[in-house]
Amino acid sequence: MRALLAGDSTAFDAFFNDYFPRLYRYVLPRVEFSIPDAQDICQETIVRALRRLSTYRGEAALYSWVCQIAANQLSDFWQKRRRDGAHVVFAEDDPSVQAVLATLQAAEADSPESHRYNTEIPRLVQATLDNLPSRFADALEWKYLDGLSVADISFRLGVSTAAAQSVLQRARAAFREAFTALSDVAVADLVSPNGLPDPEV
Amino acid sequence: MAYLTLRSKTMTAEDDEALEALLRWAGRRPKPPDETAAAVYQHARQAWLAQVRRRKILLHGWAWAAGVAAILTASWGGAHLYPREVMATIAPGQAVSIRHTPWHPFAGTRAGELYQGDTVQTGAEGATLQRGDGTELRMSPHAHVSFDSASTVRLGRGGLYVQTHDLPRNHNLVVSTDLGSVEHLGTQFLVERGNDAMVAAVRDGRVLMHYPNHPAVELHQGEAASLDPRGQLKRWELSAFDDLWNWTDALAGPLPIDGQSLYAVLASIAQRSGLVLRFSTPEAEAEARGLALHGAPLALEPRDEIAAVLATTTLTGTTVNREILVSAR
Repeated sequence: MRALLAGDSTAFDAFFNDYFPRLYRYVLPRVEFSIPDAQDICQETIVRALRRLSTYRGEAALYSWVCQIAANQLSDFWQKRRRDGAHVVFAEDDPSVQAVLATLQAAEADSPESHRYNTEIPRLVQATLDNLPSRFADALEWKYLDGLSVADISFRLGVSTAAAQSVLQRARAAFREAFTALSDVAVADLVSPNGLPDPEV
Repeated sequence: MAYLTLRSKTMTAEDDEALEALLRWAGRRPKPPDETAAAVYQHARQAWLAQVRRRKILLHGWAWAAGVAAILTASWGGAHLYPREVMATIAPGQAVSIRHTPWHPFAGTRAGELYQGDTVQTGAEGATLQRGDGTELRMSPHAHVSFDSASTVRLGRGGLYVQTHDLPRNHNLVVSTDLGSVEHLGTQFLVERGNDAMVAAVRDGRVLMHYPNHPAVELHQGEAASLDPRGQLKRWELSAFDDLWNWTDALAGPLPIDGQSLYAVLASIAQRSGLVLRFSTPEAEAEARGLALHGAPLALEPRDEIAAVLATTTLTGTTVNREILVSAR
């Protein structure tokens, strides 16, 4: 942070590479997947975050702090648009709304849970990953999506194999805890006895 | 397919499989398009660099301002707080011990100059100091004096004789001791801090004596007062040639007479002794003014000096009621 304030380009690149992709994923669904709007809001959010960086006191995680700035930008964005009823509210943004939506969806006759499986849960999983420390999320993706060995992960992280194993363990625990916090339902409740539904369905 | 049971406290192998299934189902987190990332990067980097530049300018500005403020403060401090004013000078050849204030840049480097905070200790012969305003300070043998401020001289022990000349009215000089202080109002006075008491004596003019829990006492020419540690004040009349003045007269220095008129020499003796010079007739005064003296400087008691300068003239002098009365033989 100090290096960033002092004008260290390497620190800027590290900050950008770490936070921009996560910020983009945070913003994109909130502007109805409009890439130009997401770009504008991300741009303005990062500029504002850098401008106010000296005021960041570390009470919240830096990513949460950046997301708060983005949320303000999004609020302004939607006020400008003045789209009636177009304000997007996400389950992880407001648990009480999520509960209401769950009730409404339960009343639907046509496959109420599949909508949640196919749209909300993947996004919650990704949001959970984005809220984890970067190396935790990366390690989980490398392990479970890319199928890398612990040795490969340790090489990518630049740590020993034992340390990589430790990172994976802590990443799994952190994911489980964060995911539970983000979702008002345990994953076990979402998983059907016949296995996880195919997201492509 | 295993279930991911997040309610459990530890991850089991089954949990691991369920987690893998969950992550695979959710899919890889989407990456921003390269062109979007590049555009945001460029814009954010430019804004950040501008911000860094502004911040540096601001920091430099503050640094400059702080530097200027420090210089101004130091200058002000140097001008107002530093003891730059010479409180007194002491002529070379006098046996004194000087302790200079430790934080003065010239301490001990300029011989004979005394600054605020300096202390002077005399030996067996006493010493004479000269202030910038012409005031003469004579220190008795074994006296200890320190310069508290431009207007306050602290007498630790021994005696201090003050002889002022043509001082402005608002000039303030106080000789302070642990028992009380003496404020200068006239021209010649003495303060002694002995073992048992403080003594103040006025040879010419007047002084104000201050001591705790009492109103100030004014002492006039020919008066003396002693103040003991219990605050008891005792006053008495003092003759012009009282023994109290002996050590001060011994330090007065020789009286130059060569080439001066008799009148001028008699006036000097009168002034140094706190006496008034009078002539019995205008003719006697005219003669004294017209008579030039020659010879070596005199280093005698005042009465002996009067007798010495009148010895070779047609005039005679007596000292009565603090007067030197000169008349024809």
